[in-house]
Amino acid sequence: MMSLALPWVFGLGVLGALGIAALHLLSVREPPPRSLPTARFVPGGEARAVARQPRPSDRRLLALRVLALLSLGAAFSGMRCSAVRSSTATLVFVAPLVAGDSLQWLPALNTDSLAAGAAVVRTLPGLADDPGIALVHALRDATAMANREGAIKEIGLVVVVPPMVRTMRGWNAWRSQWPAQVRVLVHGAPPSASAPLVRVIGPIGDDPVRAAYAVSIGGGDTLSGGVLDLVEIRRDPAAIAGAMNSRASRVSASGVAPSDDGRSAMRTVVEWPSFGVPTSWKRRVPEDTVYAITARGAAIVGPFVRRAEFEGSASARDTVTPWHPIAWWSDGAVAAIERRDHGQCWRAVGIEIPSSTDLLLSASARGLLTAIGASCGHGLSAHQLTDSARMTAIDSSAGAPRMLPRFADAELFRQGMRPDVSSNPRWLGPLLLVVALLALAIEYWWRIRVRMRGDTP
Amino acid sequence: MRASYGALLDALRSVRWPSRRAVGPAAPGTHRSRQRGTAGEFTEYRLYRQGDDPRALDWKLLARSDRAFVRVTDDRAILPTWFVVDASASMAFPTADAIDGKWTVARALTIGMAAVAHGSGDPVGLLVASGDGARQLSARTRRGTVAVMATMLDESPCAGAAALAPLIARIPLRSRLVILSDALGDEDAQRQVAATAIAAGTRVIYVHLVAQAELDPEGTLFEARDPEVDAVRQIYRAVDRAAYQKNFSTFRAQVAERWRRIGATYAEVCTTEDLAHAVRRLIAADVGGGGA
Repeated sequence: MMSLALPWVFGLGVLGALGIAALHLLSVREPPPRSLPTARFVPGGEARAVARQPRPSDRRLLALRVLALLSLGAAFSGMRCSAVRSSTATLVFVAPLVAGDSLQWLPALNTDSLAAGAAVVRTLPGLADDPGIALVHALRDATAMANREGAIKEIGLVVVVPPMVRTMRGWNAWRSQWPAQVRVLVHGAPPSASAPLVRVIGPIGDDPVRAAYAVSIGGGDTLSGGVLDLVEIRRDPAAIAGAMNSRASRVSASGVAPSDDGRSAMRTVVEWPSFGVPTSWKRRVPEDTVYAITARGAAIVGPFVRRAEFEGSASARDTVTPWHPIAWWSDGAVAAIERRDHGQCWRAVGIEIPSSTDLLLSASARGLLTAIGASCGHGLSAHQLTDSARMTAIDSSAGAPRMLPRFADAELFRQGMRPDVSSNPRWLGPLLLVVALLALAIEYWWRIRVRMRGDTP
Repeated sequence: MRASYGALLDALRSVRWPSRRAVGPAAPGTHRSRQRGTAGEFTEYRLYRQGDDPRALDWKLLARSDRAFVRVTDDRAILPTWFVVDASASMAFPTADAIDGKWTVARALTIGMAAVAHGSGDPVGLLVASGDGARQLSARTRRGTVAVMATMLDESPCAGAAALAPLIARIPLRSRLVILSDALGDEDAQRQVAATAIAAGTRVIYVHLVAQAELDPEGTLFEARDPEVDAVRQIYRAVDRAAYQKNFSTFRAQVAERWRRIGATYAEVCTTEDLAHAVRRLIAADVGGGGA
């Protein structure tokens, strides 16, 4: 699709070309001489006369001049060529947690922008924490897109999130900035009504984690409670690769081993070594002592020796299997992470619990235990996004509620911005300028040649 | 002689060109002479005077009337006819060889009228004025004179600016002078010289040649250039047609009036006119007097 940043400049070129073509239809030259003995009786008149010709004179020169003017106009009008074939663009922001399931939620978008190449799909880390980050990025990306693609007339916004997000504060604060509806696609299973089954696989003996989950997670017959999710916490580094289906060390929340009847729909594997560092974590040098761990809005205070440090960086969030933190040290460092990979959830906990401590049995540890023992994707807070049509289509910020438009007007994002008048691709403008100069040079040479030869155009 | 002259001469075979007035004393010819004598056609009786030829006495009348009378008769004389032809560049319009060009018509009229005059026994002479100079053929009555005139006209270039007045001055007085021109040259000088000749008894016929393309130029826009005076250039536009025709018409009327005023026979001939008809008209104008 081709567009112009400054169409009026190209219009000037077109007007100039039309004017040149019109002048070529006029013959401003001396009339042909003719012998007339009675010329003395002709009334005096202008020596030069203007006559209109039925066809333009010297069509080669006319073509060169028109080409030069049009090329000049296009060169300075910021011509853009883009693969975008639609005037409607769509911004799609996806939470890393559900990015791996694009084959499932992508068809649900059902937008023509995808087919026309006018959709931008980005995985946005932190989107599952607060969907408001999508609004911030949407405003920035929409402004850049509107100024870059002059052909875009309206922009839509789609946010793909898991059913549960950590907080809605950012969303509520930024929602009014997006001047149109926001389509929210909730992907993933809704929160399970029943608590997942947590089993700790680790060395036999006094394990505070096993004890904590045996006490803190609610009792009752998990079978009768309809357990759908299974969370396996592996404490023994040597047992990480094995005993996935082991029945010997199952420990249910109520102490009753459930039968293996295939009811588990989602399996979460937690790597929480009793000593050492989890896989893909590195040993922290030097070790330090941190006095609090936060998770799910709660903090557990204690003298924790921090020996493990997560090696992942911000760039890791853009990988195919992005991770997100579920617990933090009090200084903000990541203490536990979660990632979803092809239907299975993986967690890694870099918190070493002393074997003799009973910190995990306290009420303050419930947040940490819940975050680690929760179903996949539900290790965050309990904010649940509702239907997007009802929640995001009504603007009640000022006066009576009004229905927001489905798409945001692209001109709103162009206001106040210095228009980008450069051509796209960058070499197109200089190329058109070269074409114009070349046409002018050829026209000059041709005109001189005709004059020297005395040819009649 | 061109084939076109043959057709014209055939058409003029029966045409005679008598002089409107009695001519002066000259060699015997066909024109009524002012000189009275005893030869020729009986005109009147006159009393015998001493010195008259006794052989002119009418003895029968003497016997009847007892008076001596002599028979008086009119003499016929020749009338030399001269042709002065303008061969300037303006006569070569539209082109020198165009059938409807002024030069072609001038030559044809000259040959036609010369043939008529020569056929009556009058000597005919020719003067051609062109930019290269003047060519002259003395008046003669011998056979083939008209053919020689035709050859001389065909070989004369039609170019440059020619002055006819000096040639008119060469013409012997009391002859018949036919001037063929487009009046775009030294017309004033010609008229002055012709007026002198007319006063001396010369009969002058001025044939004003006009091309159809001069009466109504074709085209809507062109630069009109005088072929004789390069400085004369005017832009002719379709809107100027009426004004141009008015100017030219006024000029032609003035020329006609001036020539008639000095006693010449004036006739305007357009190049589209039938040549034989034009010759008859010119001769009739001269015979009838005035203009045509």
